[in-house]
Amino acid sequence: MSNIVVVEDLVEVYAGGTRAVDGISLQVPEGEFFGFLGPNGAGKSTTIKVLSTLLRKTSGSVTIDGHDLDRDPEGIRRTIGVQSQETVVDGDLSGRKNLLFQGHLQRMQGAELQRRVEELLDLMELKEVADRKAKQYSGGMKRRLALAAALVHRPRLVFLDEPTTGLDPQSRAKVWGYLSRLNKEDGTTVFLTTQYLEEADKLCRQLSIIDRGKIVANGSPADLKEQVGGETLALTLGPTSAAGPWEPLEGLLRALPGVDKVVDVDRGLVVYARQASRLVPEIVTLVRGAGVHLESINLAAPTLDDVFLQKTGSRIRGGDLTRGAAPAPVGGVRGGVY
Amino acid sequence: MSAVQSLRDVWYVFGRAQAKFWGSPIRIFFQLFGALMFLVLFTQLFSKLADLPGFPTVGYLEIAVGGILFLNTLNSTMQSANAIVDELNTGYLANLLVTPVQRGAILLGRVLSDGVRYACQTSIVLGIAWLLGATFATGVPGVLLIYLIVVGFGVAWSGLTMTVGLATKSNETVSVVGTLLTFPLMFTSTALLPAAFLPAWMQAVTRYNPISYMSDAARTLMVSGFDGAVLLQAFAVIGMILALTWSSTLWLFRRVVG
Repeated sequence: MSNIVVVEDLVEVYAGGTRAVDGISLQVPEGEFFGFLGPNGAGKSTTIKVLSTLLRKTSGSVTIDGHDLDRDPEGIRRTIGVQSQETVVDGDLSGRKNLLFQGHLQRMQGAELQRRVEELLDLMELKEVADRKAKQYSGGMKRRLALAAALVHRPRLVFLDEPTTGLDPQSRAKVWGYLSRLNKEDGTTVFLTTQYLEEADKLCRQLSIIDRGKIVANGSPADLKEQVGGETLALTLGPTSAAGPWEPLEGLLRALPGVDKVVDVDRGLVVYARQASRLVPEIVTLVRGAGVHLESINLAAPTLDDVFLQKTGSRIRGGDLTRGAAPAPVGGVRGGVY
Repeated sequence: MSAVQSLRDVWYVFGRAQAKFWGSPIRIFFQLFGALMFLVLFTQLFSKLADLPGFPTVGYLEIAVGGILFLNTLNSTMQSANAIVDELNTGYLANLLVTPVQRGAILLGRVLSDGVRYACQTSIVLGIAWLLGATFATGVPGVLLIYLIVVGFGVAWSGLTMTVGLATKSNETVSVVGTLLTFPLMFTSTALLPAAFLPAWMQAVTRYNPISYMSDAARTLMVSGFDGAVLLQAFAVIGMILALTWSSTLWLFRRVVG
């Protein structure tokens, strides 16, 4: 299968000198369900803005469906559909008119366009409100309308920038169902960004994890979890009297047989080990011996969160990065092109 | 990209802007109301002026029409800028830019729609004036010329508000600059009074005010007849403003869509 997206050494430096995207390379085969996973400000939206011809790149090369970004942005625009992170629909127009207008801009007309619009209104469950002005829609309805607009011309590749952020669980499940069908039945390549591990795990066949403008891991969700290896033990610890919180304890835990890694997190430590469950008695003894109060121990099979934690040293939790010095979000691109 | 496709793009962008305009009856009502209010207020305020010796017409109404047409247009050009600033800031423009639509069509379709809006306002002002008993010395051809002048000036002046809008991306700034300009422009021009009725120093100032050329042209068509020199001057002023404001607007727009 040929690659519909090929990115080599892409760099995006903002006017202030921030390296929002710092030398990433990607290949997405046609028909793939690809996920770009990372916290706020990691560079996901910036990458999508560059790939969808909105933001001029600083350096590197981008080819989409054989069209070079520098020489043929027009060709790229004919191939792609884009749903941006800000839900933008024209509130003064009805849902149906929003879709018709979008179709016209995508060179569709007449009966073919009419049929497609009705089909999408049906699919997104917007038929009943199709003639109401979009400004009266709920947030979830607006989001579905924006998604329909991105798909009206049956693009071979869609970029979806956090398509479910801010949706209630029910709407989110609906969007997931629709995206899987889009990919499986129509063969549309999906390039999705998300900060939800559950979403990436459920939908994507291939993932790249991005942090601070760099790709830190690639692979299928299963591969990535396997890389973490074994199990994890999350220790929730109480405050200590010592100045450096749990440092001596960390060293002791690392020395235990079978332990791959110990990571300092918000309220405790996470231990990665082949057979972590067998280490519980020893760990309890060590923690006690170090004079640290142990509140709880949680044993778990690896999740994408653990992958993220292991690769970057920080956690994605509800989109918030639990790291001391989190970089300022650079999601909004007002300084550059807008 | 074929010429037909480019025209289609312009047509669709124009169509969307028109759908938005006609889709809000409240806005149209307030424009009607605004025109009526200004006409009634000004004609009442200055009604005794027409009794002065040397006044060019029997009533003040025909004088006021020329001024109010351009007062409305000045205000209306702020809406043109507001629309594009909103689309810039909400990301709607970005949505258009990831489609194959012609970049120029995004601007041209909108300008054409604004032109229709200026023409509608002209109809409202002229219609109300007619109902109030105004006479039109040059008949239908003269009225058509009035439309041409108002729309031409509106498009030219909207280049200024759009320049402010695109440069600052702020509708507040557009409103402040627009409003700050409107009043001095109106009151230091011949929009509300013929030059002969102004003090000498102000007569000198009006020579540098584009609104004077616009309202003189509209007024001559209303009250006396076709005056080639006056019309030529008006169109020359429109051309100059157009060249100046639209070169900066196009430059800024290209940077935005770059």
